[in-house]
Formats: sequence, structure tokens, C-alpha cells
Amino acid sequence: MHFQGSPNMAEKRVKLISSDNDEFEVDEAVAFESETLRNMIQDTGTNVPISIPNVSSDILAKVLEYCSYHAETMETHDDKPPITDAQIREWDADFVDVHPATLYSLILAANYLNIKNLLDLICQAVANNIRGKTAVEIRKILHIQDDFTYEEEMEIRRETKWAFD
Amino acid sequence: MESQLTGDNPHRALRSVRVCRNFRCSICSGQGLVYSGVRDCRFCCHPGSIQTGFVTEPLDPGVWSKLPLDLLEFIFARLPIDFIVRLRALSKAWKRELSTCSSFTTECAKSQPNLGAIMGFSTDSCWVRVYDTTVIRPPYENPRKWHAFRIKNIPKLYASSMTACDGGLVCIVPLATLQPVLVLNPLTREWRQLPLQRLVKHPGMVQLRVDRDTRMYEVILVGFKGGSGVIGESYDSNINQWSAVASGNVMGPLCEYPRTSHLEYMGWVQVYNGSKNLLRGYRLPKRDPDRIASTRWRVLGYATCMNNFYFLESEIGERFEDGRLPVRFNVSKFEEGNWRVGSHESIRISKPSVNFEFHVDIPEGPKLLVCKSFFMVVFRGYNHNYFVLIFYDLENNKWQKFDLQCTEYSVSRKEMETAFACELRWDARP
Repeated sequence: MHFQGSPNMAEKRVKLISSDNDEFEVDEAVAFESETLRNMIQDTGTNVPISIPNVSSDILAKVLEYCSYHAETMETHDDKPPITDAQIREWDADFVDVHPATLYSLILAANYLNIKNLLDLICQAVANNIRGKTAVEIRKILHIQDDFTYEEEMEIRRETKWAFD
Repeated sequence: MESQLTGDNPHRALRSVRVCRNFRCSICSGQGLVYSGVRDCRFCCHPGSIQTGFVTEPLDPGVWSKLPLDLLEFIFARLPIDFIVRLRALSKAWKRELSTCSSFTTECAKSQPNLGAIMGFSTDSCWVRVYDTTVIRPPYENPRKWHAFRIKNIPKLYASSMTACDGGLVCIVPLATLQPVLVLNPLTREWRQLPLQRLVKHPGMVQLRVDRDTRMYEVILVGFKGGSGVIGESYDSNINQWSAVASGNVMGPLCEYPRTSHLEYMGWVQVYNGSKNLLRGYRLPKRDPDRIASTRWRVLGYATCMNNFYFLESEIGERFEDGRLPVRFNVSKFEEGNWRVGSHESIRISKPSVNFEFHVDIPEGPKLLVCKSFFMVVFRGYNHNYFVLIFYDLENNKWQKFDLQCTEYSVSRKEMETAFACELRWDARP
């Protein structure tokens, strides 16, 4: 499987191997979006394929899609107008418009690969999803045990005015 | 509530459904649907209580309960402050996490570096209203930029007090009796009493200076010794000790104690000279002479913070047909170095370091609230159930103007009368 990076860049290519043994090939600049990969490449060079044992193919493809888009926005082309911040925001909003289960895997991958902007983006998307939820709903989602006594619970309700309905 | 999938991709998270405009509607949330702010605006103007909007898929507990704690904290830290404060209600562990400088509150401090707040004391508790600049006008109704809560466990004797704020901490000095100074982080509600000061028996001025890098702080207290005579004393959190102030100036507003008749006039501040051990009241200029030559300008209020002081001035214009006055206002800030004490008990000023001019056509009861990183000017609305607020961020030179209703979530008129401004930080530690 080959991943399309920006075509007019004649530079080093990096091979990445996902947890289900698919091989991805990307430009070095794309891989450098990830701090973890940058460190690995600087240690071992680009000749050896880098295996990423805890990221599956579909998630890795998604992460590399993000990295190649953002690596591309960094470049300046003489013939094309630069990509505006509004365009990037719109692209980002489309990118995180996925099922929450995918977001979950993306968080773990972004965290492992240490791509700060991607982690920020996804965490914000999850935060938007949970911002309307009540304490009871959040306890249910995260399996948090409600260990307050009745009196403590009443006291907290009084001071924080959470909608407990 | 009906729902249907749009598009051809069932894995898309956003579904177009007809949802209730009420953002925490129990029927909608009962079905696991939450109106999402990801796509907004187009549908907000629909009349009636039902509108078409996008909702997000519910989060599956089977998956999300396995999320590592550090990543969960990372997500929670990106929520509006309103939500973060309410995480105290989740469990004892989360309450502990939010009650001191922890890994979570450090994360919150990173994503919400400086929060503006107004706070004050009512008879039984300390109230806080935090202004969240990160809340953009969301698509659901009644966006709450203000988060309200009360801090109940502060001893009652601190209700009548002088205060000073810096770097996320509030320093509270009781006026009536000789009691220890209390230092509080209003966000985590963590507080502690300092050792009792040795020299100052009747405090008249207080300043707090927090070092943002080391998080150490200094409390400077100026007041009267037992009999007569003035003294300045400073507390260093690094060594947890009070020592006498020997140099430098300390400027403050004239407060309740000590009060002599001629000092009650608004245009006075007091300055303590540490090297001469001298406390004197000084008259402030009637207006900023360099910038404003016109006599139409007059000073409406002063405020001090640290050793800086602020003018609130206004220029009265022509009356509108309905009797209202359009008024141009100006706030100027004079840092230490741009003012000096002159002879004849007056303060002399040179160029202001910040000038901010704005228009408000409700010129009623302007009140200037200042702290180190921002200032606010509060006006009373015409029918007295709302305020108009001008909020100016001194660090980023950004300003905002908004209305504030007198509800339980914002501020009541009575509370506003005794309010003071402070900046809050999640990771500040008393």
C-alpha cells in the first residue's frame, strides 16, 4: 500500500509498517509531523522500515492523511495560492467528523506517535461531544463509581448547580 | 424526535436530526443524542422549539472507559470552565484532583492560561463569577460565558476584609479584628492562613505579588502598629515568614481603616514609603493633562492595582432625542515610574502606559475594576436587571463588550456593589 504524499517533492521516503503488517510509504516531511517517528528516523535512518505495532492500518492511513495534509500546508508553491487558516480549519473539522470509536483509536495513535496538533484536534472534538452531558451520564461512559455519601452529594449539588436530571 | 442518517456513509458521526433547542433536553439526552456545536448557525434561527441540527453519536462505555487517565484529563481540560468545575461532582477522586494543584489542574492551566473573574463576599459565603473567554457563542440557547459558584468553607470573619489578587491567588485581610491573612485559589478553593503578622496590628493596605515562574508569592501589608505609627511588613512564601519592609513604595486605595475625614474624597490614594517609613494620602489629578486638553473630560473613578493606578474618564456629548447621553469613555493606566509623589500632597503623572477609549450609550453608574492582566468597566443597564461590561485584556490588547443579566448565574446588583476583579489560574497554589 502506498500513501500519496505531495508529488513534487523529490526527497527521502520512509516505510512504515502497521500492526496488521501493511506497509505505508510516505515522504520524510510527512513522517516528521510525528515527534516519535522523527526521533526513530534520526536514530535508524530511512533505509529500515519502521514498525508501529500498536496502530492498525485504517487508523494509520487516517493519521498519515492528516500528516500529509498538514505537511503540505507548510510548503509554499509559486503557482498555487497558500492555503488559508479557514481552509485548514474546515479540513480539520471534516477530518474529525468520524464515529467516536474511530476518534478513540485516533487519540491513542496520536498520543503514541506524539503529533501534538492532531491530539489537540481530536481531544477538542471529543470534548465537544461530552460538553452537554450530566454527571450521571459521564459516570456511565467512563465507569466511574459514585462514592459520595448522600450528604456529600447534596452539598456538591448545592455548590456546583449541576443539572442532575 | 425523529432522526435519519444523512449521506451514504454510516460511519459519519454527525447525523442530521430534529432536535430540541433546549441544549440539555432530557428526552434528547435520554436517547443518547446531544446537540453538537460542530456544525452550527444555519438552523439556529428556526422558530419554535424544534429545529434541525446535527447530533453526535453517543460514546460507547465499552470503549471509552478504557481511556488512559492522562488522555482523559487532556480531553476534560479542553472543556469550558463551567463544565470543568462541575467535574467535582463525579467522584471523590475527581474532587480531590480539582481541589489542589494536580496533574489535571496543571493541564487545565495550560489550556485556560488566564481567566478573568469577579468575586466578593456575601453574608454567609464567598461568591465567584468566572468569565470564560474561550466560550464562543454556541448554537444552543443561553450560552454561559459566566460560571458561578460559592466557596462555603471560608471562616465568616473574612467577609469584612481587604483583598489583593495576582497570578490566580486572592489574599484576604480581615478588617475588624487582628486575624491571620488568608490566601485562596478560588478555582480549586484551596486556601490557607498565613502565620499571624508580627508588626501590623491595624492593616490599611495590602498587595500580593506572585512570581509566575517559581509560583512563590509575597504579601505586603501596610498599617498601624499597636498605638500609633505606621509600619510595612512583607510575607515571603518561600521562607514562610514575615519581615519588615525597608524600601520601595506601596500604593493603595484608601480603605475603611484608618479613615480621617479629609481622606474620604474619591480622588485620593495612599502611598507608603518603605525607606522613610511614611504613609500619606495623596490627591490624584483631576484629569490626564497630557492627553486631554478639553475640559469636557472628567474623571469618574480611580482604581489601583499593585503600584499602578487607573483613571476612568468620560466626555459628555450632545444629548440624544430620547434623553440618553452618548458618552465617550477612556481608561488610562499609569505604571509605577509614570507617577511620582509631588509636593503639596498630590500625585504627579507623566504619559499613561495604556489608553483605551470606547463608547457606551448607557452612562449609568460606571465602575472600574482592575487587576494585573485586565480591567473591566461595569455599567448599569436602564431597567436595572442587567449590566453592560467592557472587558479589556491588557496582555493581548483585546477587548470585548457584552451584556450581563442579573440572574443566579451572573451577578446580582447587590453583589456587583462590593465586587472586585481577579485573575484566576488553575495551578496557583496558596
